[in-house]
Amino acid sequence: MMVLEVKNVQYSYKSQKEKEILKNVSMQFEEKKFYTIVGASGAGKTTFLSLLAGLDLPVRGTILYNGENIQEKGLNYHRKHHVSLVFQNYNLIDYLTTEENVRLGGTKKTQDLLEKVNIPCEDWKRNVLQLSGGQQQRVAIARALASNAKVLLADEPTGNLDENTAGEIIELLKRTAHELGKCVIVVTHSKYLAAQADEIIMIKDGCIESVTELPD
Amino acid sequence: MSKNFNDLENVSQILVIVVAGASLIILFLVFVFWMKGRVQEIGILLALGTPKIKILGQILLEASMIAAAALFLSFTAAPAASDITADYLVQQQVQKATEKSVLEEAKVAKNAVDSEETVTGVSVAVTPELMLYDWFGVALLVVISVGAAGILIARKNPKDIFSEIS
Repeated sequence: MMVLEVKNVQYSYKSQKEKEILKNVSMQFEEKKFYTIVGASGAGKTTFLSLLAGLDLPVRGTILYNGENIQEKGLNYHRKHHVSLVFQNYNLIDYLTTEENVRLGGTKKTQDLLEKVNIPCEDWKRNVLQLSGGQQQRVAIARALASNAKVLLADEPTGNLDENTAGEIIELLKRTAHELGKCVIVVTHSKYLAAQADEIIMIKDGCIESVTELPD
Repeated sequence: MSKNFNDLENVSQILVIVVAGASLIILFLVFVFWMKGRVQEIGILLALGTPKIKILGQILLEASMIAAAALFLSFTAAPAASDITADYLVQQQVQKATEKSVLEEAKVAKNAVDSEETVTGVSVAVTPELMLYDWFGVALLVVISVGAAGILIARKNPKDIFSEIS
């Protein structure tokens, strides 16, 4: 079932209006699917993800969630109820504990989520900065899962992690899509991560160059 | 001697206005730096869909808690501090008045008439009315300075904040 739709979206920075970062991009995203967005640096991948997340507004075009323009209820509402975010640098609040950080994401049971992402219970009350990079990213994913949002967006979630830890995070994201039924969209440079997706979206010079569906 | 105390009251009123103005500027700068120091946290909360007004409310709440603690301390210390100050001022004035009368007596033709009443002490009390004024003044200072500093945050979207950080 389609959950998120991008229609003829264009984007340029306010300071450089003549330079188009995204040119007339259209795409549909479905629930229970794992998407990866790939492309060279500066191609417009992160900007595309920011627009899907409601972190910014397109210059032209619309973004629809369940058929409704996300601007109708406001971007704050979209970010709180429709999407959840995972960042490359985790973006956890450094003076809070693991549990408190997860609680920021929503009302779901924190401890169940931490168990789900394999954070040992002795780390739940610890300051989040005392955890390893991989654990911090798992906490960030748990925070994203704490909300009831149907879409999980991740920007280079394995960018700061070693191969083994990156593999665990990828598995977790795949499970989120296939077992929890969410639409997971990940921006990545990693060919390995990209190859794990159900669909790979290739962005080049601000346009979607190709969408490749991969077999199970 | 009572004239000197009236002058003192005027001076203290001017002092209160000057201190309030200076406090507003200092508090504004403190909150600007405070918010800049917490810009990542603010960006994260915005990205999670927390409304800007709620974030400003949280900062206001934290500032109010510090202000409440400061007011409590100041009202605890105020009676003792003002007693000491008042005693000192009275002593100074009494000493000056004594010196003046000694000089007057030394004159050959003494025309002066002691018309002023003698002040032997000052009683100082922090009244509930004064407390209310202070609470209101401090609350107003905090709200204005947080609000003014908050405009810097209110103008930005989370993407701008994350771009700044990176």
